[in-house]
This record gives sequence, structure tokens and C-alpha cells, in this order.
Amino acid sequence: MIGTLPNLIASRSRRNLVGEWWRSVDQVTLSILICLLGAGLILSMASSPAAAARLDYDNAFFFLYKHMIFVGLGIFGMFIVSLFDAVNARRLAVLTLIGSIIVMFALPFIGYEVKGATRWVRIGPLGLQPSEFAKPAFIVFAAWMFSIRHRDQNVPAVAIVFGVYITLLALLISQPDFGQSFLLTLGFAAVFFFAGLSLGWLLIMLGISVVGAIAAYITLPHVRARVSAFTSPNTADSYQTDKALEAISSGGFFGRGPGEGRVKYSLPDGNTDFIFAVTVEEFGFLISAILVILLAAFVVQTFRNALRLNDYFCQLAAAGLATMVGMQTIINLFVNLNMAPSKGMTLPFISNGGSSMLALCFTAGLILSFTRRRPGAYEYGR
Amino acid sequence: MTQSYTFQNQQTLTLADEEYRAVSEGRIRIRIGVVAFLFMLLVAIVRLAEISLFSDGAHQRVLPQAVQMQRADLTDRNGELLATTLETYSLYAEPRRVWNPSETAEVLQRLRPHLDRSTLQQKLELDRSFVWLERGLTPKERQAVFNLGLPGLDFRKEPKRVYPREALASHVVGFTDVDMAGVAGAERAFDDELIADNAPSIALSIDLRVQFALTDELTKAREKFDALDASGVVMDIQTGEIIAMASVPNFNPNDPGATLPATRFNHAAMSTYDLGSVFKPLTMAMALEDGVADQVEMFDVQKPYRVLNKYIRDDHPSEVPLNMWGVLGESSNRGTAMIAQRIGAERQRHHLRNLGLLDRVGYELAESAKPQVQKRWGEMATVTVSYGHGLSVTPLALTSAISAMLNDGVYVTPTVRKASMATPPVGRRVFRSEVSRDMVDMMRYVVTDGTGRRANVPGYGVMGKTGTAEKPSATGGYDQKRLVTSFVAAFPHSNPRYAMIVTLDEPKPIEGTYGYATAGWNATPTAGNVIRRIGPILPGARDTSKYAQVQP
Repeated sequence: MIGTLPNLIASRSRRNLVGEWWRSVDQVTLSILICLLGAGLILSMASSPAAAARLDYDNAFFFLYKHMIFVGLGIFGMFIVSLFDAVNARRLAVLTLIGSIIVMFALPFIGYEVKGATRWVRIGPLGLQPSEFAKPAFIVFAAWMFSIRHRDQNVPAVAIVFGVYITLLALLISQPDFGQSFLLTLGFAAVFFFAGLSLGWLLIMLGISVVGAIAAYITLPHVRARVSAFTSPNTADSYQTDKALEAISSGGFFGRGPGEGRVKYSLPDGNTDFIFAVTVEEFGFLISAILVILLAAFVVQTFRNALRLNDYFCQLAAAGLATMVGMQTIINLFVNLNMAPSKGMTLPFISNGGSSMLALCFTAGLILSFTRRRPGAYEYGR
Repeated sequence: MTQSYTFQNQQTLTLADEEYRAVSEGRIRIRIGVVAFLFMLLVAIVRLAEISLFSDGAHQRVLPQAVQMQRADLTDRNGELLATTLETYSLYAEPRRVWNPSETAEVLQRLRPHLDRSTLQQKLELDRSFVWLERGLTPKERQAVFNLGLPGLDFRKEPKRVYPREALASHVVGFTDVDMAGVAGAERAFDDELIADNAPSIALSIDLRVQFALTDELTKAREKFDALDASGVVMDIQTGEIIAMASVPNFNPNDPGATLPATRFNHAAMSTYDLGSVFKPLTMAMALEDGVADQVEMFDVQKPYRVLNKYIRDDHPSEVPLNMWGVLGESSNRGTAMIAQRIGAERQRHHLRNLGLLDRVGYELAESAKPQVQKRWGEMATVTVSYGHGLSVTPLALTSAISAMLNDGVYVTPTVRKASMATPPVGRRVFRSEVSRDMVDMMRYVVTDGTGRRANVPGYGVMGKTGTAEKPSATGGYDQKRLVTSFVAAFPHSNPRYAMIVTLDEPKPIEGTYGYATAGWNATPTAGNVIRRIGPILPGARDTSKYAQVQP
């Protein structure tokens, strides 16, 4: 396997590739990731039978097996991506960006529709969502552009980034997919902010988001319905959120116990967007708080590494990707806890969902690659 | 040369410095990002704690479901026990605390000879802290085991729902699941009341003696006529109390899991049939109520009669015109059709609805089937429904309707609870008193001079009506071989107090019925047998009028 990998991969000697990787990769981040993916598998055991029962599947663990396959694929992909050095990882991200933009352009012709949105393409037995991959790839691209701008003011980096951003945004909205647009904008804003761009640019971004949100609210009935469901919970149809709250409130400190969940059977997206609610119902406050802390630890560890990185691009990219994962976590938690209108966003590394899992493992692979220890990578000037 | 070198070096340094500056500024901003992220996360965790630990829902949570330890008794109307809760003891061992497994097994086996000694010993030698040895011991048996004084053996109290009458009234009483939650019959209907703290026992309207007689006769009839199943109801028409309700085959509620699901089906209240001519008295009452026919007019039932190009068939056609009494007595479809056409679809539906025949019977049990009503109710439907075809109802629903007709025209909702003086039944008038009186006489005439003669039990002034219906066949139309025969009866004629029905599903012609399987030959004598047995038991069943015979 390793022998077939191209020369792109940085190594002192090919024979010692894995050992080299193991020495240079951030083992703390890696351990947290493995813990998270393992937790996701355990929680899938809780949520899968309920989802399978709802959809009348004979195999109660259909979603668990599916999840296992994706976790396996994800870990493999993560390992491969993290083998790359920073420059090649960046190239890979940019290629991914280009690829996913092309696929997204072609979606109206090759995609298929689920629940009223055309977001998926079928590759063999897998349904993939190119926008999931576009997000991290774009963050890396933006970080690259900003680092170039920094080095050479003559390159119209900001204009290029904005062009790509607007294109992506337009593609996402045409699907339509507002959750992803929102996350993309947040991640972009974070990179922007970290890159030290002036307040004026940030205000422009804010303006775009506000205008976009208002436009979405006015033109799209499902967005309006969700927002009104959130703002006036008594009148609107807020079944999913109500059930999630019921599940969480019945959890208590220690939960009902693994497999003892009741509300999960009536929670439509209990294995994906609302897996956190199922977690609290069965495992209680303590375990779910630990889960949240574990997710936070991944983000914070990445931020810490970013802080210590010398390479400006790596710093921006790692911090940007961490922000994106962090924001996705926060938004998912807020939706589960009824602090934000529901958006269709998974809990990173935990929720079922093939594209999301693969894209997050891709993200994690990029993060691992950018934060690898190389001579001179860390502690500049100290 | 040196100058230029220094310059270049300077530039590199400047570039590096700038990179350093950028990276340091980035560091400040990233720190701000981390703080913002952690702040939002903290908000989420606080909110999580609020919902999961301090919301109302958190207090409602019952982790292991409370074990139901008590459940009030069910009795019949005379206080005979129908269902009770016994405390049984289950023997278990804590093998780690057992001193000598082989000795313990030996002593225990001597006391409980049906237990296998080697199995016992094996269980007692297990390296476990808990193992069941025997469940469901009586208090006496428990005491005997206790007196052995063996260490490591202990008992767990386990309540058990017991039905001492076994299959008798099983469909009315119902049964509970292993957690002692009612899942059928009265056990289900009165579940909340039964499990309340210190709940008093509930008396049902059932009279076990009547229930036994009815069940016994139905069982015999089912065997004799080789019917698929047989069902019957005896009702107090003044209070609506169901004195007996039986469906044969029945089942033993002590072990409902061991019975066939088909035996747990209460045909009296859950099977809908086209019941046939037992509907005819209702049609007569409707006509009298609406004043569209009287009792003296003669109907030309001897001639072929067509409705919408279909001939109305009479099984044993009369050769002379008949008045209303004759039409009912001879069970003439033609005469009934003529009368029904005068009533009209709309009024007919109105009356049927008043009689509760277009909806499920609204009594306490969940076992109550909805009737099957035709969507299009045209003239043909009006005619066929008038003699009990094209509207499928349960035997219980029909008994309630006939009861209303005979109860001075007042409909009383049936009940399975014993009526108390404190809560008199609320009735709803459906027919005028005069109509009811006329129908009482007319139905008496059917038994004395018409098709119901085999149910005429002397002394009880039996009224009644036969009904034979062909079952719909799989290929469309009706199957003349597969019949549902019924006899609806009431007594005594002097002051109608009880109504009953006997329904046989697919009785076969037997020796002695001359090849007939119609109601007059099976359901009617069965009803007569029941009345003969229950008449002496029931208060107010004896006919007090001097003349058992009635004439128009």
C-alpha cells in the first residue's frame, strides 16, 4: 500500500514512513480523534435500532454497520491525508476544492434529491455530498491565499478568495443548503479574522450574512417555518425539537442506561442531527458533558498547535479548520438544546452520515498534516 | 560586496520579522477565537445541565418501572370471585452463601419431590450470587422450605393474577400481562381503578350462574350443529347491564399465552355479521313510529315483488296477503321490503343511528367492533337492511337495539358494571311507548304462532325473532350453504326485563332438522334451552299475565 503512494509524501526514507509519521504526528489530537470515533460507534449502537425501527429495516443495526464502514473508510482516509506534508496537503485541498466545485456545478444534472434538496451524488453504493468536502478545502484555500497576500501584496488574494467564496455560496444556496452556507461563512470569517484583516472586511462579511439570512427568510418557506418554529414554540410545528428536549430532560445525571432510551424511538433524526439528544437520554448529563469536553479538547488542542506553529499558512489553515469543526459542534449542540433553529448539521465525528463522516475525517487528516512536527515548524523565535 | 551581502541579509531578516509579526498577531487573534469558542461551549453545557438536571421532565422520569404489587379483585354481581391477586413466593438461592450444595439439594428435594436433585445441586454449585430454584410457591410451601433452615436460600414475593373460574366469562373479565397490567376485557377497561391504592373490588354486571348456563348451552349447540363458533348475550333491558356474554370457544385467562388467539376473540362484541331477519322487528317499529304503516293493512306478499329489477325472495312464501303481524310472524322479506320503502332511506338511517346500530357499542370494554355500513345507501340498501342484509353489526349491538325497542322505546347503553342505585341508567327515547307496547305483543306472537315456536318456554312469556343470513361468498354475492343463524329473545311478555341473543356461525344441518340449518332449527331451540335454565334464576323473569297467547 505504502509503496504505491507517490513521492508527494514527505519522508526521510520510504521504508520508515509509518514510523516517521508516528513520531511527527500530534499524538494527543490523534488519540482524541480515535476516542471520538469510538464514542460515535458506541452511540450509534444506541441510535441505530431506533432509526432502523422507524424506517422498518429488518436489521436493527443497519445504521451501525453503515457507520462502521464509514468510520473505517474515514480513519484510513485520515491516515493517508495526514501522511502528506503541509504543501502537498494544501495542494490536495485545493484539488478537492476544484473537484467539489465542479461536481456541485453538475449537481442539477447528476445529483439526486433527498427531502427537497439536491445535495447528493451517487458514487457506486455511496451517496456523497460534495459541499461537505468543499468546506474544509475552501478554508485551506483561503488560508493559503491570505498567507500569499501577506508575502506578496501584488497578488489579488482577497479578491480571488472572495470570488471563490461567492461562487461556493451561490452553489450552496441553489441546492439549497443554508446550514452549510452559514458554516462556510463562519469558517471563512474566522480565517479572515485570524489573518488579521481589517474590521471593514469583517463588516462586509457580516453584511453579506445578514442580507443572505434575510433573503433566505423571505424567499424560502422552509427557512421561514424553522425560524418561526424557533421563535414561537407554542404555535408552530416543532416536533423534532420537542422530542429532543424531552429526550434530554429524561436523561438526568446518569441517563436511563444504554439501550433503555424511549424518546429516541420518536425522534426522527436520532441517529444524525439529534444524536446528542439520544446520548443524553441514555447516558445522562455526565457522559454527554464528557463527550462535549472531548470535542472541545480536539478543537482546543488544534488551536494550541496553531498558536505554536511558525508557518503562517499552517497556522491559519489549522485554526480555520478547528474553528469550522468547533462551530459545527456548537451549532449542533445549540440546535439539540433548542437554542438555535434546526439546521441539518451533524455532530462532528459522532453522528451517522457518510459524507459528513468522510469530510470530517478529511478535515482531521488535514489538521494532522498541518500540525505535524517538522524541523523548525514550532516555536519560531523562541 | 560586503555591503550588498549585508543588505540582502537585512532584507531576509526584515521578511522574517514580518512573518514573525504576522504570526504573533495571528496568535493574539487565535486566542480571542479560542476564548469565544470556549465561552459558547460553556453556554451549551450550562444549558445542557439546565435541561437534563433541573427541568420538570427530569423529575417525571421513572427509571425502573414500578412493580405492580397489588390489584383489586373483580367479582360478579353476586360477589362471586372472578379475578384476584395472590401473593406467591419464588424460591431462589445465593449459591455463594450455600454451605453444602449436595446436602442442601438433597434436603430440598425431599421436601419438593418434583424438583430434580442433580439439577438443583448444579445450580447451587454455580459461582453466582443469584439463581432461581422454583417459582410460585404458596405461603404454606414457603413456610415448609423456610423451616428447613438452610442458609443461602431465600424467597422473593411475587404477586400473581388468578382467575378461579378459568374460562367462564373469560372474554368479559379479560386478563393481564406478566406485569399485571390489564390487556383485555374488564381488566383492561378498569385498569386504572384496579391498580389504585387500596382500591375496592369491582362488581361486574355478570351473573355467573347465568353465564354458566349460557356458555354451557352455546358449547352444546356448537358441538351439535358443528358451528365455527357460537356467541350469546343476556342483557337487563331496563338497566343495560350485561348479565352474561359468552363466545365459544373461550380460553383460560390464567395462561392466555397458551391459548390460540382465535379463542380470545369475543365474537359477541367483536364479530360483525349480517344478522338477517332479526332486524325485521326494528323495521316494523320504525314504520309504526313514523306512522307510515299500521297493523291491519294487508300486504300482497304472495305475489312476486320487484325492487329495482330484483326479485325479493321469500324462503317459505305465504299464499295469502298478510298484515304486519303476519309479515313478522312468517318472516316475509317481501312484506318487510314494502314497509321499508315507505320508511325511506333517510328515516331508516335516522332510526338505526338512534338505535346505536351505525356505531360501535359504547360500553366500557375496548372489545367492541364498529359496524360495517354501506357507503351508498340507496333504495336497494334500504330494502335489504330492513331484513338484516347489507349492514353488519355485532350480536351485542343488535341485542341493545332490540332491548331499546322493548324497553318502552328507551335506549340504555349497555354496561358490564353492576348498576347501583346511586347512578340510575340514563336512557334516550328512540320509539314512542305505544310503539314499544305493540312490538312487545308482535314479538310474543312470533314465538306463539310464528317461526320462533321452538323457544316458547312456558311461564316466561318469551318474545323473539329468528334470523338466518347467508354469508357473503368469496366470489361475490351470497353463499347459500354458509349461514349465520340467530335468535333474539326477550322475556317476560308481561313486563319485558331481559333480552338475549344466540348466534351460531355456520351451523350445519343435522339429523332431526330435515336438512335445514336455518335459525328456527338451531339458534331458536338453543335460546329456548338457555331461557329454561336461566329463567328460574333471574328476578322478574316469570310472566305474570294470565294469557300467554296474544292476538292482534
